[in-house]
Amino acid sequence: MFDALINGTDLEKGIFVTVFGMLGVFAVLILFYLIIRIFSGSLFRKKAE
Amino acid sequence: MDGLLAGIASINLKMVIMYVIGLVLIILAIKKNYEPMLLLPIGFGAILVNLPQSVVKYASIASEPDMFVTSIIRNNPGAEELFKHYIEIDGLYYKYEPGILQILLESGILTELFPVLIFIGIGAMIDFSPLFKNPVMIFFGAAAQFGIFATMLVAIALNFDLKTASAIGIIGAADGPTAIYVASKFAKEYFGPISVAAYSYMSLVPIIQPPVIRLLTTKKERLIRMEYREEKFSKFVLIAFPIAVTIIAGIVAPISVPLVGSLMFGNLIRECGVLERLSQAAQNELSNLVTLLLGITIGSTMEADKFLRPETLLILAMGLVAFVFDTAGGVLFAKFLNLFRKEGNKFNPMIGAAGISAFPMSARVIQKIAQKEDPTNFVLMQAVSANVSGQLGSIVAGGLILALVPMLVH
Repeated sequence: MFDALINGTDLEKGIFVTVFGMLGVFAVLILFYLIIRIFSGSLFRKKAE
Repeated sequence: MDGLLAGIASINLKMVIMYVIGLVLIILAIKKNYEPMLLLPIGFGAILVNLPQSVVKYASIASEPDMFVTSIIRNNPGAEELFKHYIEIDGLYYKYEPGILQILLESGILTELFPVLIFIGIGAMIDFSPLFKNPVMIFFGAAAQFGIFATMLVAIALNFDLKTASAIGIIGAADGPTAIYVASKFAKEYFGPISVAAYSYMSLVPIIQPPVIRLLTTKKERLIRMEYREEKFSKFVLIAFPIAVTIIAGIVAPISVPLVGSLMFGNLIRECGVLERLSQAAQNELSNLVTLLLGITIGSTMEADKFLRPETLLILAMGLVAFVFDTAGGVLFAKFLNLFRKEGNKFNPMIGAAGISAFPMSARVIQKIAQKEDPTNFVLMQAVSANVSGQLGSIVAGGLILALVPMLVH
């Protein structure tokens, strides 16, 4: 599938970059979000409540 | 006397147009206060590089063409990348000695040194505490990157190749250093227009964002109040965050490490509490000096022959599209999240628009609109949280584009 994409049009490649780019940005920022919650203790505090 | 006449004789209309463009940028910087720290040096650089026989760019050019290099480049399209310090004049390649602006371009921008140094300064200026108080705001920093990818698709539809299109899309990061970083890797040919668009539109955030926000929100939505908790965080949180972010970025998107790492290094200097002098130096001396050199170097890429072409107008237009898509992406994402939130706990959707990286201008714009609707409504801190997240989001988006695009290009 990836080989087909490499030989595909720029628009197909652009859509691929858009989908995986946005997913990637959200995924990385979700990780940052978890870090903040863990470091600030709010994750554990909420559980304790 | 011959030298004087040669200078006058070599002035052409394109050069004069570039002087006018340079002057317009300088006037916008001085009269309108639009990003003066960058637009003024860029404008002056644009004038400098278009002076007749501009020695600031090319200290000297050989009088005879190099026929060996010319024949190789003619027979191997794209081979000009292999030959440094050759300039094409009427289809022939001449060797040249670089002038001061070319040296700055090669050593400061093409090596990515200036963007990285600027990020150390920005990192030292950023206070992540508002984000720690509203961690959920980080998702607006992701949603508002939509403009980058949407604009990239528009650029592809306009027949730009994938690499150039992604460099154009990155204007939507609303983040000058990231735009420069990506453009220097993917679209050296369009470096001038992309950099100028990135910085010009950043200064136009107060003009671009309000109409888009008003178009996509109702008055009732703009009046939504949001709770803000005053909380203090331990030194540990503030110090551990930049270190953890750098490690995660290094694992997930290694190519983004120069940008993320330098931003977080600057932030660590700020938060550690024992490097006050270095923190101040990064925020002031380092940022000021690099900004000064960066601006004039960007201006030096605005040579008339490269800048005055239809693609430049397209890039400038798409930069505007990128900012509109960014704003719309953030606002619509906030409205989407509100579908799942209880009454009284909803986001003011304007906050989503602050997810772009233009810090702190975008947050101020949101607060201004909110206060215009209701003078007692304060959403500044929430907007700042989203704005700081936008800084992170734009670097991550830039890193992902740098990682994904080369995988798809032969």
